[in-house]
Amino acid sequence: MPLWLPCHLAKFLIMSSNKFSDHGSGLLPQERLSGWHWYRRGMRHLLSTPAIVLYFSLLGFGSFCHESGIDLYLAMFMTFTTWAIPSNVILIGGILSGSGALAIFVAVALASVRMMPMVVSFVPEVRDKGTQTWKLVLLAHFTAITSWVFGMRELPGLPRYGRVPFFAGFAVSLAILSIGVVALGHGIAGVVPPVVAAALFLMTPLYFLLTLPSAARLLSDKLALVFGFALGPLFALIVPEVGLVLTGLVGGIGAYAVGYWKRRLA
Amino acid sequence: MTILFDSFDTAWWPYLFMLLAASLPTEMWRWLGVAFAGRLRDDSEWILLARAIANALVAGVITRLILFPTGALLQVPVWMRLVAVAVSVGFYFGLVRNLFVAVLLGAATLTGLALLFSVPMT
Repeated sequence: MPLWLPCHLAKFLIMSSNKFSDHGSGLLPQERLSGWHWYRRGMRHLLSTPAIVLYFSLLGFGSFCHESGIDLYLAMFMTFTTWAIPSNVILIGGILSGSGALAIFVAVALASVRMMPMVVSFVPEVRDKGTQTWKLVLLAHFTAITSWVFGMRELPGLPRYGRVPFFAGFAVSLAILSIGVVALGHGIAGVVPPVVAAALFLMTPLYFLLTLPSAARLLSDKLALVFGFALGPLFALIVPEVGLVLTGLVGGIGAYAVGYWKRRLA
Repeated sequence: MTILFDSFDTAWWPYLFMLLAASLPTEMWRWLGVAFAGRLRDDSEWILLARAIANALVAGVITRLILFPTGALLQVPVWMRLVAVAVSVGFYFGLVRNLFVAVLLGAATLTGLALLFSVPMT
């Protein structure tokens, strides 16, 4: 285990870590800091709780790759190029069951629909006037649940011009670092007891479960979470293939409608 | 003809297969997201709708990861997973708002229950 980990564990135990450290730290509005400054500031969150929890689950994913017969380099490659653990898990499941490319494509596409509304809602938070589209496309690649929750929580507290480099500093470095973490997980597969591997797999959904409510600012966001938690398992049992898509549509549109109606009444 | 992971016996084929079967179907939604967002004003109602749908989808993914997991977690009975989740959520929202401790506590509860009831793990 790297030396910094115990130190940071201790640090996080002492400080209540549900708030990230340094947004809105009293900058004068006329001060304009460099992009590199914001990039580094984003990078500082690489050892924040969401990042560390992600590393734990990536260790689990790396071991899972090893056990599924996926070689080290392919595991590292897919971590970075897909940058969505659920998609990679579906891919590996498909490979193991001997599915064709088209079948896997459809399964991954159905499970990744979330990326579109996530990016649509994220872009207005991150862009400044005149942010080039290629930058948004690049940042969109690094938008996965961890960085999306992080962005939706952190960005509103920052000046517009600093948001793109700040988010890039966090999300791009996180993805690069994750390649190494997956490699480590691949290497330690078999050393870690299966019970611990199971616990690693539980950490990601647990973390999301705890942080999502804080990223959900509006009534419709909060309701959408409640609907999603309730409908997710239900639809997964009734209509396994399209269950997730239906959960998003029914839960999301329903929550939006209630929120809209409440706003009209207020 | 079905295109398979082992259709071609070359070093680069698994990488190309992976890009086509997993990266592309994930990435295309992100590109669509940027394309849509580019046409919308920041205060558009569509953005609010997208936020709601995104939240519902993410919540759906989370319940799936817990109830229908992959890998080693699949071998732990559902009730143990649910107890571990309940302990973690109860601790965080009821007692101490410390994410790190709450997540570790959930993981520890799962490990403890699995060992206590000697769940066979391979």
